[in-house]
Amino acid sequence: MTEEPVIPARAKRVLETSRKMGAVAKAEIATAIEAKQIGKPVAWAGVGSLGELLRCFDIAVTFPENYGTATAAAGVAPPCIETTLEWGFPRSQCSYFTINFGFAAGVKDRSDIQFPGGGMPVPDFLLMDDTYCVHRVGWFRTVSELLHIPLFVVDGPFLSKRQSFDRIDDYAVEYLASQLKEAVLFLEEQTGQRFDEDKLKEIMRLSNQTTQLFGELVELSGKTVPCPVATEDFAYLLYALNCLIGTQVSVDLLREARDEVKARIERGEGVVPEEKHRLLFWGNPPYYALGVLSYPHRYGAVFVSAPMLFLTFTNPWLPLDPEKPFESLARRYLCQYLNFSFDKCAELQDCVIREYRIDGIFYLVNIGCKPATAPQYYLKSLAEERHGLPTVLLELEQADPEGYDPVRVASALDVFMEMVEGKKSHA
Amino acid sequence: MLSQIRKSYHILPSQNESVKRWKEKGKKVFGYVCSNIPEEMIYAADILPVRVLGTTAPIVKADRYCARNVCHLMRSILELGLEGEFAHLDGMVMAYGCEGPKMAMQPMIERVEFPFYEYSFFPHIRKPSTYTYYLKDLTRFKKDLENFIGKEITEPSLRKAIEVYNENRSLLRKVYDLRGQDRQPKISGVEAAEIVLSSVLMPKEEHSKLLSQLLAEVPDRKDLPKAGGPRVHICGTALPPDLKLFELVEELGGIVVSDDLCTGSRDFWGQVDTSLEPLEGLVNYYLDQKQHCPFNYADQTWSARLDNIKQMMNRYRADGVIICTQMWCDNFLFHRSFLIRDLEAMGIPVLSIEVEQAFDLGPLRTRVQAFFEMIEGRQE
Repeated sequence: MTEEPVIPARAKRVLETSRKMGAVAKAEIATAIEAKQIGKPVAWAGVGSLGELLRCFDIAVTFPENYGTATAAAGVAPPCIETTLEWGFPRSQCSYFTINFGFAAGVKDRSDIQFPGGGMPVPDFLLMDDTYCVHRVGWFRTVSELLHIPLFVVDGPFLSKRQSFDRIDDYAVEYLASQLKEAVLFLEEQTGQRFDEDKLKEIMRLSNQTTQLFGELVELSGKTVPCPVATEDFAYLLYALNCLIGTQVSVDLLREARDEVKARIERGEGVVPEEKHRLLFWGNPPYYALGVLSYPHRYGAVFVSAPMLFLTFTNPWLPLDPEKPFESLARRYLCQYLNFSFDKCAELQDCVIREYRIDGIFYLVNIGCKPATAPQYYLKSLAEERHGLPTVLLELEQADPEGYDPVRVASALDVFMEMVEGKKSHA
Repeated sequence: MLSQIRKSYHILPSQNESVKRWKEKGKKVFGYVCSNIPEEMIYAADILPVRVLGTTAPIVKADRYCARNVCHLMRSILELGLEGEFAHLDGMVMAYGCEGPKMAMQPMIERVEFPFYEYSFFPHIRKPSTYTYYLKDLTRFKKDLENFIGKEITEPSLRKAIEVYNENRSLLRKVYDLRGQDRQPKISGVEAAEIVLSSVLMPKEEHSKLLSQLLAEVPDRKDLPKAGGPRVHICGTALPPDLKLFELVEELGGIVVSDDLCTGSRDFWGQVDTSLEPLEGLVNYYLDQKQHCPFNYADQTWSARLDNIKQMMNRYRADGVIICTQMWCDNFLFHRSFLIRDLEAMGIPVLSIEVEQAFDLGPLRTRVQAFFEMIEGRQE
């Protein structure tokens, strides 16, 4: 008789759309490999601030952050990380970096490793922005140095406390917008193609549809009781938002997901048969063990939302204006939640706790990811002080399985769920 | 004279005699975090800027608001804030250069009351638009300061502050030259480090006055530092404010002759161009002359940093480099492997060490000894 694992490696997903997302991602990699073979330009880019512009050009783009999650989920991250450590980088750095650098430094050529989709093709150039995380640029600078290929950096000013969604320094928007125009020149130079502003406007319309659908999904998930789709599914749906933004494919996928969710709501189907507790998740989930997110199901509990995860790379509530393409792109890129001060993150948390009827919060600290970790300790203190909510804070890196101990995680979540249950029974 | 300087500063603002004297005149004092803060602007507002550098004490209260993946320097500053160390300060000025200050300074803004605070973005690249952005942001900061003090910061006062700071920078450079340019140092590495440390903790005019007197006395100095041992360049970001690494190097017979630390040469090298409009001069100084900060990711930055190290080593005849990394300083860590590779390729002996709360002096002593043997072996 085989013993069941304490925490299953795979999460429970309820949507067909999220189940097929892996195949979509693999197909994208396969397309990029083909593109490389026929001599098309290949780029690696950071998720977030450049998606719409990249789609204006006939190039194959892959996103190493997302590929890091896929590499972790496929169980082939360790050899990449070990290679990076051999170069003298410490394990404490972002695991997306430690995976990607090792991959680029030679592990990509190992025939004994089956990388998802066959492995990202080697890029001709790199693009990265530092909006909310300067370390992403440091990472790409090392890859640029390693592969001797050009890197274009976009510098997005942090929005300090005196700024908010409707009050951003004009000169910060101008600064970012001017760099986006320079990014276009860089892409023209690298690809030999001409930029077409009409194409950008069309891409922005598709981008708006994508973010609107994603925002709708977030609201349906958070506000509906019982919760029809949980964070586990979003961990996969995010691919459409982060890596396919500005394409019809992303719109179709998210519309399909939205329709599935609506159908579940009509049928009264929740993620768990009898929903008792509604939980919030902060941080990047451990992609090598997404089953952690489904563990509370045994208590009738479900993660109804994960604001940081959903809102890191875009802002669904800030539509782009195709008539002011660069200004509105700059404004949206600046308005990523992690690019705001802690008080804005606290406002978001307060709002979500109230509107989504949250019973407890799980803060997952990714020790290699400072931006994701940054507000969590402060938010935890506020959740306890302002709302009296039970909370749990655990350290797990998002893509490096080293140190993951299912027994320890299960034990911490058991105690947390007892707190949640105890508080509700007292109430 | 160094003893007189020593009486005038302290790393904790509450125990800093210069801060007390300044406040007794009814004037305001600001703390600031990071060497990329344009202090001249604060000084021109007749406010004394003193750098907060943390301590080597353990972290207790800050652990509630900040994860362990931030350098001790920043967590320690948050700890001091939560302990009430900054209660008598009139303001705190911080910059978002890297993720550490963002993680540790934001809880401080939320949990510690300051009559005035500034948490600004410091650019990570250098393009023509970067200069425009930074000029506009400095202009905004100037207006915020003016609103706080209730009067204009005039152009003459800004020019005067720039002159005061430039003078101090050139005197500090003389200290470095007296230490490192000749085979026989006139000033030790520990003394030079302490002089630089004190420069950010007391009024610049006062510091320059004491420094001028000290420099006048140096040629007649009898107790010269030991010469002939390994001459070391220290590379890194900020060191703990206790100078233990400098002391250890010199205790083992070597001397620190140069550095590229933000608590060292990077804090004062160069001059603000006084032929420009004051704000423009400040923009160029902070964006161009302090460009070796590891969170600057402009093209060619890494090669420029390597060139800077080579120039400093040549100028001060350094034999080897100790690369000292603050634990969790990812920006520096991204660069470190390449830096070691490039320095070693040039035949330069390198010792790479890390520090968190404080140096672990036992094992470090052995490593520095071995490093000195390596240098001496190569010299033979």
